[in-house]
Amino acid sequence: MSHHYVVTAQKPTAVVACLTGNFTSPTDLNLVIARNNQVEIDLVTPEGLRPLKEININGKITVMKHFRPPDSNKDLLFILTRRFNVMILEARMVGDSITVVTKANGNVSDSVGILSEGGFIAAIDPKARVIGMCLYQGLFTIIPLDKDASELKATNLRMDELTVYDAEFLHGCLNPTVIVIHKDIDGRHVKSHEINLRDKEFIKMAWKQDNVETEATMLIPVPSPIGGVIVIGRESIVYHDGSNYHAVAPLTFRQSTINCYARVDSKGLRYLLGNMDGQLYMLFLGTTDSGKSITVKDIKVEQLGEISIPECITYLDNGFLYIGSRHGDSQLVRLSSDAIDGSYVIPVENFTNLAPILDIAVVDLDRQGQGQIITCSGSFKDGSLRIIRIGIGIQEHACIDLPGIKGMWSLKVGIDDSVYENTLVLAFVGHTRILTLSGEEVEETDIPGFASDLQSFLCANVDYDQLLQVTAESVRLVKSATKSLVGEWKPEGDRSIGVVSCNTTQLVVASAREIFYICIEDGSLVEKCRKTLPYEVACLDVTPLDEKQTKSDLVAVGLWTDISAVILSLPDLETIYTEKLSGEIIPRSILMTTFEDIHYLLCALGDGSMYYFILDKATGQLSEKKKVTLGTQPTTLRTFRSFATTNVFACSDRPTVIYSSNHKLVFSNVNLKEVNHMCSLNAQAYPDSLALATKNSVILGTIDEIQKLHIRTVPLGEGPRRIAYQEASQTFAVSTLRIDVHGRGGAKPLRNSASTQAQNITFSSNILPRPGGGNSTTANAEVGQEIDVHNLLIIDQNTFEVLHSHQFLPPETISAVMSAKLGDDPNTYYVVATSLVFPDEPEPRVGRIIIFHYNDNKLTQVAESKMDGTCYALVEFNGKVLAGIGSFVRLYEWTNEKELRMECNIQNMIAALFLKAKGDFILVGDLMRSITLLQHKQMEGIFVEIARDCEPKWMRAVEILDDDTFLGCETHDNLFVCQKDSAATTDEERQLLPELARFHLGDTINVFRHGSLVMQNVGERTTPINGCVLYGTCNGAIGIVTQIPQDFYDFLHGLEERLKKIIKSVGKIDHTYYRNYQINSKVEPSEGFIDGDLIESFLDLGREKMREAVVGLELTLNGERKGADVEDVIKIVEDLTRMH
Amino acid sequence: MSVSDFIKGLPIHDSKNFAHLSNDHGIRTSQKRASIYLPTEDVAEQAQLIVMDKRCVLLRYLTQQWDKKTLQRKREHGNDGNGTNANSTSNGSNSKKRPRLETNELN
Repeated sequence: MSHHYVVTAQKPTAVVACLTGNFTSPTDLNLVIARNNQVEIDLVTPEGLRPLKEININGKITVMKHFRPPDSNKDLLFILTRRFNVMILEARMVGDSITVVTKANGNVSDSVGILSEGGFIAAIDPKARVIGMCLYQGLFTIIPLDKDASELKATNLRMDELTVYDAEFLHGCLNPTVIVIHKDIDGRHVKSHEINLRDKEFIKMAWKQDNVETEATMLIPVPSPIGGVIVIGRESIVYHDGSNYHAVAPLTFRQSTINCYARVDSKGLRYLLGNMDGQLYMLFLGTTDSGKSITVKDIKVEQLGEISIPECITYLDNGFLYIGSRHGDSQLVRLSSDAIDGSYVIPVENFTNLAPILDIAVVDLDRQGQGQIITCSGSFKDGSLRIIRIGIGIQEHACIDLPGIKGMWSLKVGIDDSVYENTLVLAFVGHTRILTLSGEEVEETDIPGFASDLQSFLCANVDYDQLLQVTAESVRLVKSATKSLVGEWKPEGDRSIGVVSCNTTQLVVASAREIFYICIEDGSLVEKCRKTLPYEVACLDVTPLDEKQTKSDLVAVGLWTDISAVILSLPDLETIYTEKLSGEIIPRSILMTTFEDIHYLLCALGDGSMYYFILDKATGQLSEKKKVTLGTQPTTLRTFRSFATTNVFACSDRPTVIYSSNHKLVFSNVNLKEVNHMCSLNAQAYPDSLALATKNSVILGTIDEIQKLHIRTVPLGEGPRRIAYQEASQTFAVSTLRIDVHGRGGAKPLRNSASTQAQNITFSSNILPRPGGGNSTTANAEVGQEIDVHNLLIIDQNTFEVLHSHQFLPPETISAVMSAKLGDDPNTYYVVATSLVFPDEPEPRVGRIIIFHYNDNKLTQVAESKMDGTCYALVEFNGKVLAGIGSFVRLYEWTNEKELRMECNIQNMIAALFLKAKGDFILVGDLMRSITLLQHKQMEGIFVEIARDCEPKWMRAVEILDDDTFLGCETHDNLFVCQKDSAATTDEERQLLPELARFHLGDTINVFRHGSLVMQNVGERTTPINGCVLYGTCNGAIGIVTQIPQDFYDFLHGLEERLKKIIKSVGKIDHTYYRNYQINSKVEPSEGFIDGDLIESFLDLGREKMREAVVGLELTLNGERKGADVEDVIKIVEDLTRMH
Repeated sequence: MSVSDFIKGLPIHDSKNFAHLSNDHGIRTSQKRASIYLPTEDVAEQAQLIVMDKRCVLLRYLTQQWDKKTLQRKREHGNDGNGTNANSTSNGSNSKKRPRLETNELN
């Protein structure tokens, strides 16, 4: 058996549909957004959009519409899923919490229907009498709405129109009247049908218009009293109401096709239109009012400006629009009547969208065991690379260039009654500088009582409106109001202060082995006690463990020589506990802190590692010693408060925020390269901020809410398709697609993008002849024709600057890119596969494999080899190039003459689209023949087919999990695992790859990569997971597949079954049904996979429900079987969440 | 009509909406997600079940056509043969007049 855990690390981000209405109450204005299998309900507020709830739907949402029942003052939501599940949902606010009620649900599939070519279309009658859907060819499915019936009888009506592109209901009709755009051999036509709901049949055709524009795709019904419909074509817009007809062909429509619209006002005079170029237009219907009726007299269209390539648009309020996108970030934009740079569209907020993820690279640039993902995201103008890593983001608000900072503290000077701080003290070698923050301005100032010609070790606001400065010489007490010195403490003789710590009432100072306890009083520093410790003090801390207290009863000390952490009691400085830290690295920073009512002692060492203990406040005892590696340099620990919780910031070459979640410490990276010092800062212009000192500057910024995945965008302005990382040159190679438009002087890029603005640009000169003659260039292309131009970009791994762009001549397209070290050649090369794509050929017949070398900022072509087909996949295979070319898998060796020479090949595929290799084994993902395992026999120099999965499957991605286990995703969004059975008794059995695990993922995977998002071996793990494969999907989701052992699977499966019962499905689609593996009519139950998303929702349940979920659940702990309790399960599930 | 005239007088639901939203600091980027809705209690009211009419579309279409035709034929037939019975209103199927359809049925 084969057991797996699959979980989403980044939820889908592509927006499928959006709409505005009153859902949560008759007065609440809500934005509802649909993404793959989730619906998000937002509230429109004066501060902007406020996300209220995200609702999981057990299905892939294809259509989402809203309607208002005749007697209601609230809107309802209608959802249709890919598996023909339909539901009507209502949102209700009870107090502050939302309840989503399923008003109606069912399935409208037909066992014999042929799926409609135009995709799923649904429309709702404006009077909410009926919902109509085009799902199958020649059928129109209706669901008559009747709120009193216990059953809603959906019926298929026979419709003469076979190919329907859009369907809508007309306004102001006595009977529900549907209007469709359909196609037949003569062209596209618009036709309306009146529906008799009682007899469930079409009664008559209201009106029709034959031969509308040949590319007409969209209908916009116009509300009463105007009525009629607007037909959107590629170049023209037509208004028609059966008798009245107006057409317009706006020049500004250019190349692209309008693909979505939003009605602006309820009368239906203004509409927003968006096209695939990301242009936003406004359409205006000019009308005349004859007293009896209002008729359309003309149509005006104006271009407003640029937006993300829209999938859907909705008008919110006060000129604000929401743009939902599949190809770029979704947006909140404002329409302004004053143009800015010719645009009337002002972007206000971007909502990150990774979709479509076409390729990913997992790299560990810091070489610290933590992967980052670089995705090829977005398409066309919205194409970008996204750098994704787990960590916490710092939003930088200001940056001051100041190198050499040795310490930093924020103070209130002269404004003790204010909540805000106004001063930043910076310590440098040999001096201290003081900065005043007035508004956003920062200026240098002076505190006369401070010794500014010495390096400060500590500065703080203390009791009695006083300030404290500690230098190597002395402790200085300064009155905040007068800024003058009122007290000073010095160690006797010529001893100097080594380390120091204070709170508002207490000060602990150490000088070599001696430690002093000093109380801070009004105007004086009173030494209370002193002791000599066995070794020199390396670090100490006197932070009160209880936030409400100003005094601490304990001092934590880190010692040199014996490398120990010691707890002393106050006021007598008696040693009450000593903990030897193993190793030879001295402690550099020690800190007592409390997270979620548990006291901890953290002790960071000089090598970037940190020990942490549970600290008993009463006895000073340390227990549960644990160690983590945070960085490689000495680490300094500082506390700060953020979102009303205590956090610790570990300053090092790899800054980390330490916080607690469900009583466990979580270590989260910060998106900064290096932080030497930090202090929290709450200034008027920078509230709830942090000041962070890096090597050369001080950054003032705010910290993100504890957030896990951090996404950085590198916009390219063109669509990235493949990415490869090369460590030798510290670069990425990215293949991109740019759209050029043929003008009179040849093809020109539409806009500036990464490939046109690179530091170096080269062109592929070598153009292959077209097989069978004919012109292989596009010189004879028509003016205005779009041309796909493929580029190879070389991008710096640190700055993400485009260092080089190599442009291929159309129709040469890049199909695969990899970085490889070949043969004995010391160089590392980029290997690029291309093919010549001609629209009239079913499959490209000619292509190249080109070897590039990037060195000294130059990209040189080292070799090229002509192929008789498209190379779909490239893999480095034991120093050779393994390629899937058409129906062949071929192996090329790299000769000493720097040429590719074919070593062996095998042909047993339809099209070898995906290749993965491990050792001598090769996994091939075929266009339609599932997966095949090959072995390369090195001695004989041949490929041998070891085994194959005999069931036909159209593959989307494959991966090797281990020597015997293979993972695949096929085109119906199912995951499956096949396993090689080496122990089988017969040859026939050995040649099969039986399918052992299957699961419906509900999203299309484009790429699998081995790698991990989190640091390996941080802290301890209780979950036995094995290996980690990351995937990226069409809808912008990133997930993880990992192997788990049988007993753990059984445990999680038990939990899954219980959670299925406890968590109710919105829309009443059964979870088991959702995860069923389904290919067309074949349905098999999911097995061998645990739905991690469901498991992890356990943590969001209330305590009571958690208890209910673990009833009767058994787990094996330390080899012993026992009944699981809530705490055990929380611990296990939390550990699982720590994978992402 | 200029573009700015187009954009004038955009609908207002609540003039306060978005009032405190400024983009002085440039475009904000957000990847914030709402909390997950996890219903654990069944809603008391029963959802309407949407059931598909499983009858064959073609057969239904044909029977509908057949019904229409036979109805028409019957009517014609009735006109011929039941002339003497013209005043009878007691029996719907025998009646020349069709019963008045209730208005709510039309809806």
